[in-house]
Amino acid sequence: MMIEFALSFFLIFGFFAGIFQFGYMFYAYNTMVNAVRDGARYASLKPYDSATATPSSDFLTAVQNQVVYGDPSPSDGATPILNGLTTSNVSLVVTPGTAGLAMTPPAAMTVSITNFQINSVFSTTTLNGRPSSTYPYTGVIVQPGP
Amino acid sequence: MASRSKSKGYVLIGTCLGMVVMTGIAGVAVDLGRLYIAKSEIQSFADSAAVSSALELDGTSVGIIRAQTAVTTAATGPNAMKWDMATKTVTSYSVVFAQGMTNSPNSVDTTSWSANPANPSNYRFTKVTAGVTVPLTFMQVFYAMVNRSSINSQNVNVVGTAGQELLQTVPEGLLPFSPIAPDVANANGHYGFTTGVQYTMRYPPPGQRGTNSVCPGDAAGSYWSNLPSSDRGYWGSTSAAAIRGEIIYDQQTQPITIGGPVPMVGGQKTTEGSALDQRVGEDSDPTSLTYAQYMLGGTGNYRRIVALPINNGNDPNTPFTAIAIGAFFLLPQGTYSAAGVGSYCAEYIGPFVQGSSHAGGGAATPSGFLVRLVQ
Repeated sequence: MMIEFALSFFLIFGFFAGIFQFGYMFYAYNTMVNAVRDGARYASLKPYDSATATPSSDFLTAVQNQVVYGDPSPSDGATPILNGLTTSNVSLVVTPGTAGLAMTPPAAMTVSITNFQINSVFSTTTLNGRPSSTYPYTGVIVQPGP
Repeated sequence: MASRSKSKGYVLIGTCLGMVVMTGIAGVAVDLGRLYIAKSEIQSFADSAAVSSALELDGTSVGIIRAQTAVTTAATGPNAMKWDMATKTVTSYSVVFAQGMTNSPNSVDTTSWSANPANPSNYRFTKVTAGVTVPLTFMQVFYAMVNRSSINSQNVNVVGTAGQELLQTVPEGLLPFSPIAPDVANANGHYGFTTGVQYTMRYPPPGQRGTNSVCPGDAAGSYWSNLPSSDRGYWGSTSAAAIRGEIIYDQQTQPITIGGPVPMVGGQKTTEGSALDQRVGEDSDPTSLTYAQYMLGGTGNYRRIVALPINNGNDPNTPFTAIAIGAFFLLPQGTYSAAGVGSYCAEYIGPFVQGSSHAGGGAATPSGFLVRLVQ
């Protein structure tokens, strides 16, 4: 009896561990799909205050906060939407508009998750460049004064 | 011995039942998780594609073609949004277009959905339908065990709808000029503006407001005679430096609300001509003579396309009220600094759509638009 239990315990434990792992990984991924979509949508409407395809640090921080905390300016001690997710895991790529002179409105905003490990206890999965979301830029371009 | 073999049978039955249950649990965790992710991913695709597409609608069949292309680009272009944990291209999708309701312009007229409208005028909404077939693993086994029939995939379909919705308050991006509508009563015909024709941004001095010294599209006569003599077409700040900032860097000083006042200010501020020239110089195509030529050339970066509040003139009851936001095209470099105290003209493109280089799709409600997702 003990032998059967010992054998089946490892089988069943492995089975449930696998389910937990997949379940958590899927949950985490799904949460991030929605978060990057919200981040890209937010970035596509926020007034763009840089003359190049490199966003200003204020712009970048607000977009990263939107993804990680669901809020562009979160309160101190806000909880990230996912355990372990930080603003450094959020990448923003600005697709420049046509023929680049200064003050060219961007064409699109792409927000993706970069270098993030989903830690589901029994193993880790590293995400690089996904999930990702792109929206056409529909905001206005503004520039610090002359 | 007899009881031993009896319990052996129970173990077999228990194991079988347990396997069914466990496969079911695994199916819920793995397959359902995968289905939810696929759904989120193609919803993201459909939403983004609908926004890209709705941006292109300008009330013409050319706009419809651009809007269809925008959806294809969202599916297969360089920034294509994929599914199955961002590994597969979305291949099954369709797009239809609709008009807004006449009495509630931000709502879809659901009777007008059409994949290729015969008369695309006033089509401002886009609906993208996308579907993927998600393969099943554990659920397939579970289903076979329970139902003795096979199911090896599940379809997931979503709909994303976006549209050009009327702007109510515009806090940023307007230039400090406000053209007067030639025909305020004609709300279904761009308030009297004609696409491709030039209208006045800054008025000439009172003594020079004859037919020949204003811009080609302007109405004559009472259009000018009842304007306050100090007004020159600027609104917002009285500071010439602040107005320069508004022109060159889009630093709008105060919000404009449709139906609210456009606070006109006096002074001819001749130095703003060079500011407008500088603005034109920010464009990679500062030389094209007309908007049509500019778009055909395709080398511009859209800095010459500006948004201006349109007002109803010196109406006795509601003077200088914002009635729409129009998209205007600035004239070639050198025109404005050479204008002296005379008119600054700009070409009317159509209703303004924020983020678009084209006119909006709604001649029936020619206000400014912002593309939003429709729930």
